[in-house]
Amino acid sequence: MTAQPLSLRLLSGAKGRQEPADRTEEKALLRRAQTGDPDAFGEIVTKHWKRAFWTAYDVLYDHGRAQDVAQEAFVKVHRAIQNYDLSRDFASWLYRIVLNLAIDHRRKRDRDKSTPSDKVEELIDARRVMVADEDKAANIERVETVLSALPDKYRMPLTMKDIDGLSVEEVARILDISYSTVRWRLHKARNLFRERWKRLLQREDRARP
Amino acid sequence: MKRQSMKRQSMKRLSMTLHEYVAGDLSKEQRAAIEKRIENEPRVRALYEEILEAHNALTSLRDRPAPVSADDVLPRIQAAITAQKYQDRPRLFMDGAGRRYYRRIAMAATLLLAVTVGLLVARNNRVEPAAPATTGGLDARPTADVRGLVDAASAGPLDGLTVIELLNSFKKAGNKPNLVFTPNEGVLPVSEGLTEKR
Repeated sequence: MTAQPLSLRLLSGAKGRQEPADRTEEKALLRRAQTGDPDAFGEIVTKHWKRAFWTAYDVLYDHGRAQDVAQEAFVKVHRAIQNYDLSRDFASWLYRIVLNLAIDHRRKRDRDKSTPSDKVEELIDARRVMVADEDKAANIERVETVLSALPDKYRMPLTMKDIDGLSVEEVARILDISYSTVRWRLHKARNLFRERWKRLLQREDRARP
Repeated sequence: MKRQSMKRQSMKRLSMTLHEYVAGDLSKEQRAAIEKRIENEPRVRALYEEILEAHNALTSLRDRPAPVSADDVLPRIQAAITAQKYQDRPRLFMDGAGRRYYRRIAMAATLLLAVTVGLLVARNNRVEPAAPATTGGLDARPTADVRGLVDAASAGPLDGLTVIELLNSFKKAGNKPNLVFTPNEGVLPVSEGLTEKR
């Protein structure tokens, strides 16, 4: 990387966290959904579908199952929304539901974590269709290869914090672990990711003619 | 050894601070301190560059599109909700949330038991219609097999054992015992062909 003044560096911020105005809007939407308004519920699905899908995918590493789990999560949400406390953060609540369902599915399936590369193979064609930019698609592939090799207890806080943009407190609440444990696991996960990312790039450089 | 351990600890803390700086999790003062170190120390700068590159690679996943769009999946979710509503409908012994109405189940079971027991008791207590009377009273025709017992019984009031033997023998013979019961004199034997009521 070239040396540049820090002010010119683009640092990815935490985009996932909601601003107060967004929160008010979402509360109004949830209130409408609680009265049984199908359009309001549809808007909720549209808004949160992507996050729900990828949360499930990061546990299951299977597009089809991730889709099933995310759908099941929204059905559960619909069932429970009448009694939902509007003072709570909806995204965290949904996240928790999806995560629990995905973990249950994986437990039932007896997933073999030692062959993440097999799961990542599925991504290749699907990714190329979805992402127009070939380089971007290839990069996403690489990142997912490295991510999938991380142990669950490090990968989950990492994806929740650095990809989904949740705060450390939210991650701690969802995973039901302490704040300091989240910080420590994040640190460990980031170091592991960085080392493996570096090794992957070096391997690709050596393999290039 | 101790120095190396301290150096390692220091690198760990630095790396953690740099990660948190890149993720935007530091306070204003902490940010100022680390930025100063990045500017002045080449070793810290090198580590920061590496961390930033990895972080940017990771956060590029924020833009990944889902393979199925929300519009495509919404009809399926609506269909699943409708199916779930049907499954959750309240029934006689279960409410919409799957909770059983235990009180209703207990009452239904009690009612069923009462009806069954009532029917069985009624059946057991059923009185057989009396045989048509020829001499104005109960008729009895002891068979030749039980004649000896009847004669013995006619000698005096029947005791329990004798009554049981008499009844069993009638049963074996296929006759229904016809005996006259009087409150004061106990069981009276019925002589052949005749009935007496006292």
